[in-house]
Amino acid sequence: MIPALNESDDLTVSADETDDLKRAARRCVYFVAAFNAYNAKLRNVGLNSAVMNKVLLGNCIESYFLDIRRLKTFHGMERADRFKIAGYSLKWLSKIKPIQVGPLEAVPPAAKRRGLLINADFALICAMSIAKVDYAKVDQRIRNGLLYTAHYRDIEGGNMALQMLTLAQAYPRIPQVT
Amino acid sequence: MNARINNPVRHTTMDQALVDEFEALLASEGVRDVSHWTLPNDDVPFNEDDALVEFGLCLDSAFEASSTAIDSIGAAKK
Repeated sequence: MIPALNESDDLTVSADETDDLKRAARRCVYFVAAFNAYNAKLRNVGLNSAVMNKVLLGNCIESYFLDIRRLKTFHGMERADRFKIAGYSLKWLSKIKPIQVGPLEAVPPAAKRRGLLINADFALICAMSIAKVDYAKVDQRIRNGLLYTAHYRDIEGGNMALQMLTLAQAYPRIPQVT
Repeated sequence: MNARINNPVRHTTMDQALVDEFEALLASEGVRDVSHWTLPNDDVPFNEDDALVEFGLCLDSAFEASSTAIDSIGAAKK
Protein backbone atom coordinates (compact mmCIF):
# COMPACT_ATOMS: atom_id res chain seq x y z
CA MET A 1 0.00 0.00 0.00
CA ILE A 2 1.29 3.44 -0.79
CA PRO A 3 0.56 6.63 1.12
CA ALA A 4 -1.94 8.95 -0.52
CA LEU A 5 -0.80 12.25 -1.89
CA ASN A 6 -0.68 15.06 0.62
CA GLU A 7 -1.84 18.20 -1.17
CA SER A 8 -0.07 20.46 1.29
CA ASP A 9 3.28 19.10 -0.02
CA ASP A 10 2.73 21.14 -3.16
CA LEU A 11 2.89 24.31 -1.12
CA THR A 12 5.87 23.36 1.00
CA VAL A 13 9.25 24.85 0.16
CA SER A 14 12.40 24.12 2.07
CA ALA A 15 15.08 26.77 1.88
CA ASP A 16 17.23 28.74 4.22
CA GLU A 17 15.01 31.66 5.16
CA THR A 18 17.90 33.76 6.46
CA ASP A 19 19.87 33.46 3.22
CA ASP A 20 16.74 34.31 1.24
CA LEU A 21 16.16 37.38 3.39
CA LYS A 22 19.72 38.61 2.91
CA ARG A 23 19.58 38.00 -0.81
CA ALA A 24 16.26 39.83 -1.09
CA ALA A 25 17.61 42.75 0.96
CA ARG A 26 20.66 43.04 -1.31
CA ARG A 27 18.43 43.01 -4.36
CA CYS A 28 16.25 45.74 -2.85
CA VAL A 29 19.36 47.88 -2.31
CA TYR A 30 20.39 47.26 -5.92
CA PHE A 31 17.02 48.52 -7.19
CA VAL A 32 17.06 51.54 -4.84
CA ALA A 33 20.53 52.54 -6.09
CA ALA A 34 19.48 51.98 -9.71
CA PHE A 35 16.34 54.06 -9.10
CA ASN A 36 18.38 56.90 -7.58
CA ALA A 37 20.48 57.10 -10.75
CA TYR A 38 17.32 56.88 -12.90
CA ASN A 39 15.59 59.52 -10.77
CA ALA A 40 18.44 61.98 -11.39
CA LYS A 41 17.68 61.63 -15.11
CA LEU A 42 13.96 62.16 -14.43
CA ARG A 43 14.68 65.47 -12.72
CA ASN A 44 16.53 66.59 -15.86
CA VAL A 45 13.34 66.09 -17.88
CA GLY A 46 11.14 67.95 -15.41
CA LEU A 47 9.79 65.12 -13.29
CA ASN A 48 10.78 65.89 -9.71
CA SER A 49 8.29 63.96 -7.63
CA ALA A 50 9.21 60.30 -8.14
CA VAL A 51 9.99 58.19 -5.09
CA MET A 52 10.72 54.53 -4.60
CA ASN A 53 8.26 53.10 -2.08
CA LYS A 54 10.46 50.72 -0.08
CA VAL A 55 7.54 48.66 1.22
CA LEU A 56 6.22 48.05 -2.29
CA LEU A 57 9.74 47.31 -3.51
CA GLY A 58 10.21 44.77 -0.71
CA ASN A 59 6.95 43.10 -1.69
CA CYS A 60 8.05 43.13 -5.30
CA ILE A 61 11.44 41.52 -4.59
CA GLU A 62 10.04 38.91 -2.23
CA SER A 63 7.47 37.96 -4.86
CA TYR A 64 10.29 37.71 -7.40
CA PHE A 65 12.33 35.37 -5.21
CA LEU A 66 9.31 33.21 -4.37
CA ASP A 67 8.60 32.94 -8.10
CA ILE A 68 12.21 31.96 -8.82
CA ARG A 69 12.27 29.52 -5.91
CA ARG A 70 9.15 27.79 -7.20
CA LEU A 71 10.78 27.64 -10.62
CA LYS A 72 13.94 26.09 -9.16
CA THR A 73 11.96 23.57 -7.10
CA PHE A 74 9.72 22.59 -10.00
CA HIS A 75 12.43 22.29 -12.64
CA GLY A 76 15.33 21.17 -10.43
CA MET A 77 17.17 24.26 -11.66
CA GLU A 78 20.31 25.25 -9.75
CA ARG A 79 20.04 28.98 -10.37
CA ALA A 80 18.40 31.45 -12.72
CA ASP A 81 20.38 32.88 -15.63
CA ARG A 82 20.40 36.61 -16.38
CA PHE A 83 17.48 36.33 -18.81
CA LYS A 84 15.24 34.80 -16.16
CA ILE A 85 16.43 37.38 -13.62
CA ALA A 86 15.61 40.11 -16.14
CA GLY A 87 12.28 38.58 -17.20
CA TYR A 88 10.99 37.92 -13.69
CA SER A 89 12.24 41.29 -12.37
CA LEU A 90 10.39 42.97 -15.23
CA LYS A 91 7.26 41.01 -14.35
CA TRP A 92 7.23 41.99 -10.68
CA LEU A 93 8.37 45.61 -11.08
CA SER A 94 5.62 46.10 -13.68
CA LYS A 95 3.00 44.35 -11.56
CA ILE A 96 3.64 45.85 -8.09
CA LYS A 97 4.74 49.27 -9.43
CA PRO A 98 6.97 50.34 -6.52
CA ILE A 99 7.73 53.83 -7.91
CA GLN A 100 5.21 56.49 -7.01
CA VAL A 101 4.84 59.98 -8.43
CA GLY A 102 3.27 63.13 -7.03
CA PRO A 103 0.69 65.26 -8.85
CA LEU A 104 1.27 65.35 -12.60
CA GLU A 105 -1.31 67.97 -13.55
CA ALA A 106 1.14 70.85 -13.91
CA VAL A 107 4.08 69.06 -15.56
CA PRO A 108 4.74 69.24 -19.33
CA PRO A 109 3.14 66.54 -21.55
CA ALA A 110 6.42 64.62 -22.01
CA ALA A 111 6.94 64.44 -18.25
CA LYS A 112 3.28 63.43 -17.81
CA ARG A 113 3.77 60.53 -20.18
CA ARG A 114 6.97 59.55 -18.39
CA GLY A 115 5.22 59.81 -15.03
CA LEU A 116 2.40 57.55 -16.18
CA LEU A 117 4.82 54.96 -17.55
CA ILE A 118 7.49 55.33 -14.91
CA ASN A 119 7.33 51.79 -13.52
CA ALA A 120 7.23 50.12 -16.92
CA ASP A 121 10.08 52.33 -18.13
CA PHE A 122 12.30 51.72 -15.10
CA ALA A 123 11.55 47.99 -15.14
CA LEU A 124 12.51 47.76 -18.81
CA ILE A 125 15.75 49.71 -18.40
CA CYS A 126 16.72 47.45 -15.47
CA ALA A 127 15.79 44.30 -17.38
CA MET A 128 17.78 45.38 -20.43
CA SER A 129 20.77 46.16 -18.24
CA ILE A 130 20.59 42.77 -16.47
CA ALA A 131 20.12 40.86 -19.73
CA LYS A 132 22.95 42.86 -21.37
CA VAL A 133 20.75 44.16 -24.17
CA ASP A 134 21.77 47.36 -25.94
CA TYR A 135 18.40 49.08 -25.46
CA ALA A 136 19.41 52.06 -27.58
CA LYS A 137 19.91 49.74 -30.57
CA VAL A 138 16.56 47.99 -30.18
CA ASP A 139 14.16 48.86 -32.98
CA GLN A 140 11.80 51.61 -31.85
CA ARG A 141 8.69 49.62 -32.74
CA ILE A 142 9.92 46.83 -30.46
CA ARG A 143 10.73 49.35 -27.69
CA ASN A 144 7.21 50.76 -27.92
CA GLY A 145 5.74 47.26 -27.88
CA LEU A 146 7.78 46.37 -24.79
CA LEU A 147 6.71 49.56 -23.03
CA TYR A 148 3.06 48.94 -23.87
CA THR A 149 3.36 45.32 -22.71
CA ALA A 150 5.05 46.22 -19.43
CA HIS A 151 2.43 48.91 -18.72
CA TYR A 152 -0.79 47.21 -19.80
CA ARG A 153 -0.42 43.48 -20.27
CA ASP A 154 -0.16 40.59 -17.85
CA ILE A 155 3.47 39.57 -18.03
CA GLU A 156 4.63 35.99 -17.64
CA GLY A 157 8.23 35.81 -16.40
CA GLY A 158 9.29 32.81 -18.48
CA ASN A 159 8.05 34.35 -21.72
CA MET A 160 9.76 37.62 -20.88
CA ALA A 161 12.98 35.70 -20.17
CA LEU A 162 12.82 34.30 -23.70
CA GLN A 163 12.16 37.81 -25.05
CA MET A 164 15.26 39.01 -23.18
CA LEU A 165 17.35 36.18 -24.63
CA THR A 166 16.12 37.02 -28.14
CA LEU A 167 16.86 40.72 -27.68
CA ALA A 168 20.30 39.97 -26.22
CA GLN A 169 21.12 37.86 -29.29
CA ALA A 170 19.86 40.53 -31.67
CA TYR A 171 21.14 43.61 -29.84
CA PRO A 172 24.03 42.53 -27.57
CA ARG A 173 25.60 45.19 -25.39
CA ILE A 174 29.32 45.18 -26.08
CA PRO A 175 31.33 45.80 -22.90
CA GLN A 176 33.06 49.18 -22.96
CA VAL A 177 36.83 49.12 -22.86
CA THR A 178 38.08 51.30 -20.03
CA MET B 1 -10.61 17.76 2.39
CA ASN B 2 -9.39 18.90 5.83
CA ALA B 3 -9.33 15.32 7.07
CA ARG B 4 -7.09 14.39 4.13
CA ILE B 5 -4.68 17.22 4.84
CA ASN B 6 -4.58 16.49 8.56
CA ASN B 7 -4.04 12.79 7.96
CA PRO B 8 -1.66 12.59 4.99
CA VAL B 9 -0.58 8.96 5.48
CA ARG B 10 -3.71 7.24 4.23
CA HIS B 11 -3.98 3.93 2.53
CA THR B 12 -5.28 3.73 -0.98
CA THR B 13 -7.19 1.21 -3.00
CA MET B 14 -5.45 2.17 -6.24
CA ASP B 15 -4.12 -0.58 -8.49
CA GLN B 16 -0.62 -1.23 -7.10
CA ALA B 17 0.59 -2.88 -10.33
CA LEU B 18 -0.33 0.23 -12.28
CA VAL B 19 1.36 2.42 -9.67
CA ASP B 20 4.54 0.31 -10.03
CA GLU B 21 4.30 0.54 -13.81
CA PHE B 22 4.08 4.32 -13.69
CA GLU B 23 6.94 4.56 -11.18
CA ALA B 24 9.15 2.62 -13.60
CA LEU B 25 7.91 4.66 -16.55
CA LEU B 26 8.56 8.02 -14.87
CA ALA B 27 12.05 6.93 -13.82
CA SER B 28 12.95 5.63 -17.28
CA GLU B 29 15.51 7.36 -19.45
CA GLY B 30 13.85 9.47 -22.12
CA VAL B 31 10.76 10.24 -20.09
CA ARG B 32 12.85 11.54 -17.19
CA ASP B 33 15.09 13.51 -19.57
CA VAL B 34 12.16 15.49 -20.87
CA SER B 35 10.21 15.79 -17.60
CA HIS B 36 13.27 17.05 -15.73
CA TRP B 37 14.69 19.02 -18.64
CA THR B 38 16.70 22.09 -17.64
CA LEU B 39 18.14 24.49 -20.16
CA PRO B 40 21.90 25.04 -19.91
CA ASN B 41 23.03 27.94 -17.79
CA ASP B 42 26.61 29.09 -18.30
CA ASP B 43 26.00 32.49 -16.70
CA VAL B 44 28.02 33.81 -13.80
CA PRO B 45 25.91 34.24 -10.62
CA PHE B 46 24.15 37.61 -10.34
CA ASN B 47 26.15 40.11 -8.32
CA GLU B 48 24.42 43.34 -7.29
CA ASP B 49 27.65 45.41 -7.23
CA ASP B 50 28.61 44.39 -10.78
CA ALA B 51 25.01 44.83 -11.93
CA LEU B 52 24.97 48.40 -10.60
CA VAL B 53 28.12 49.25 -12.51
CA GLU B 54 26.46 47.81 -15.66
CA PHE B 55 23.32 49.84 -14.94
CA GLY B 56 25.37 53.02 -14.60
CA LEU B 57 27.13 52.35 -17.89
CA CYS B 58 23.96 51.84 -19.90
CA LEU B 59 21.59 54.29 -18.17
CA ASP B 60 22.32 57.34 -20.37
CA SER B 61 21.72 55.60 -23.68
CA ALA B 62 18.80 53.52 -22.34
CA PHE B 63 17.09 56.61 -20.92
CA GLU B 64 17.52 58.43 -24.20
CA ALA B 65 16.12 55.44 -26.09
CA SER B 66 13.12 55.18 -23.78
CA SER B 67 12.54 58.94 -24.11
CA THR B 68 12.26 58.48 -27.87
CA ALA B 69 9.75 55.67 -27.32
CA ILE B 70 7.73 57.70 -24.82
CA ASP B 71 7.75 60.80 -27.04
CA SER B 72 6.35 58.77 -29.93
CA ILE B 73 3.27 57.61 -27.99
CA GLY B 74 0.06 58.87 -29.45
CA ALA B 75 -3.59 58.21 -28.69
CA ALA B 76 -5.72 56.35 -31.21
CA LYS B 77 -7.66 58.63 -33.56
CA LYS B 78 -11.41 58.49 -32.99
